[in-house]
Amino acid sequence: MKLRGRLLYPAIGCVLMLGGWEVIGRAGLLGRTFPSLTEVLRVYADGPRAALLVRSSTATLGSAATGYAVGLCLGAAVALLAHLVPLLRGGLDRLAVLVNALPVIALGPVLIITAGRESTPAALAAVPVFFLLYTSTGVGLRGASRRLELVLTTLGAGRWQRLTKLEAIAAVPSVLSGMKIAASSAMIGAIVGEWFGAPSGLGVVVLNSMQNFQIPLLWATVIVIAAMTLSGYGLLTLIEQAVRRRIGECDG
Amino acid sequence: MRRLIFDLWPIVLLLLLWQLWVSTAGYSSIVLVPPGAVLSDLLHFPGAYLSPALHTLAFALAGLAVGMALGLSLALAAWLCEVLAGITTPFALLLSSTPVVCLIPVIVRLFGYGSRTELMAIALMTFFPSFVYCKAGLRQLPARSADVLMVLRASRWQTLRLLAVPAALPSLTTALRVGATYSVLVALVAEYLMQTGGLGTLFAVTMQQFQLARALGASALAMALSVALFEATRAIEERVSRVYRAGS
Repeated sequence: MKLRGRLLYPAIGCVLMLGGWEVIGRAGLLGRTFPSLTEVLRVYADGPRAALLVRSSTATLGSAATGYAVGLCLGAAVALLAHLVPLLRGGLDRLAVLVNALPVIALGPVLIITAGRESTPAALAAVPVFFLLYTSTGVGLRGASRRLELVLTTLGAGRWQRLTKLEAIAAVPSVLSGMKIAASSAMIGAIVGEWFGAPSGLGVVVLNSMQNFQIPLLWATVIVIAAMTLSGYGLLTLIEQAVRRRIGECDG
Repeated sequence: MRRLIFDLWPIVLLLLLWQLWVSTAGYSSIVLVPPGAVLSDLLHFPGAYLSPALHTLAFALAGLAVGMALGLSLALAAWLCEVLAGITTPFALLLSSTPVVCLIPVIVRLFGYGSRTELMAIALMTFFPSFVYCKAGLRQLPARSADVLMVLRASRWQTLRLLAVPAALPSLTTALRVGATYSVLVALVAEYLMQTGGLGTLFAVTMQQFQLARALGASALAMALSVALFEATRAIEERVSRVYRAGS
């Protein structure tokens, strides 16, 4: 019973999804802009278009990774600063809520002016990552066990020792789940950033193939984007689980 | 007053840096405008902004309502029928972890350029969080209450009405909050790509005409709209979770 709900039905769902896609595409039920699965897969076997996708993926991955790394470091560092200087926290928290609610595309015009067209994808990827990491690091640092903190203080630990021996370690799981969510935000930021006139990237391919009616290429590109995001998410989930198992032991 | 300064210093700092940058770099106004110019454009030509802002807001709210209703209905159907729940799992998993904004060009191509497509895109994109959160909420029922209802021989329908829906209400309001920010984002992206009117179109068009003050004004207004919707839905979420969590 459990197995059926866990494996069989989702498997049927997968088959239905892929089969339905093929049938609808072949029969043209949703019009010419809904290609069949095989038509989309053929794009990957076609030399020039496959080369275009590889080239664009490298560019997008580069921007997303740069933005991710910058956002990650800055977010964690500022959260640490806010943790050590509580006076700053009110304003930074408010800003984090604000940026979390901001539609990334509305930042586009601002970033084109400040960062330039070429670095807009990376900058737009960095912004949501920065604030996700700021929030998750802050929550993690404040979530350290009160009792262990008292023990450390009683044993004569200073502010620095409390931070490195207790709070920083307690924050790791929260930071990791922030990193997991941030992966997909970085991808969205990079792609939307490319729509504002970047020279290359998957976002550019998506936009051009949409405007030039290259339907199979459009779908193939979106699948590449989804696959890249999912594998990033999957990789971070594996790391998170491994770390959680290790840290969980001393959490008790 | 002191509280306000402590809360708003990063925004003030950003605005000051922007102003400082403009006045030291000495760019012409087609490259960069100071924050004051954006504000004065907003204040002097409110008519230019009003109808695009209302357009975006109306589409975001309408799309959100449709998406939420669809998500809730499908989640309820999945709760009542286990086969459906299993079959929809891969769809939900796939769509909740892909960057949905990147699917908008596909939707645009599928349904054609136009306002109808904008509404459909918003409804579709807010449907995913609504479905995922409602489904999760319906599954986390308080175990003892479920036992009581079973002992009293409540039917599946009665359990749904008396227990599942009230218990899932906090998740529903979370879905509303997540969906609200999505709805404005998707509305802007759709308007930007299809030029169907609204703030997204306003900043797409004015960027091309180098009317930077107007473009940044539209951008600022879009941000304000999104933040306002987010704050409103967060207030609803907090109120509901206070009422419903207090009882359990």
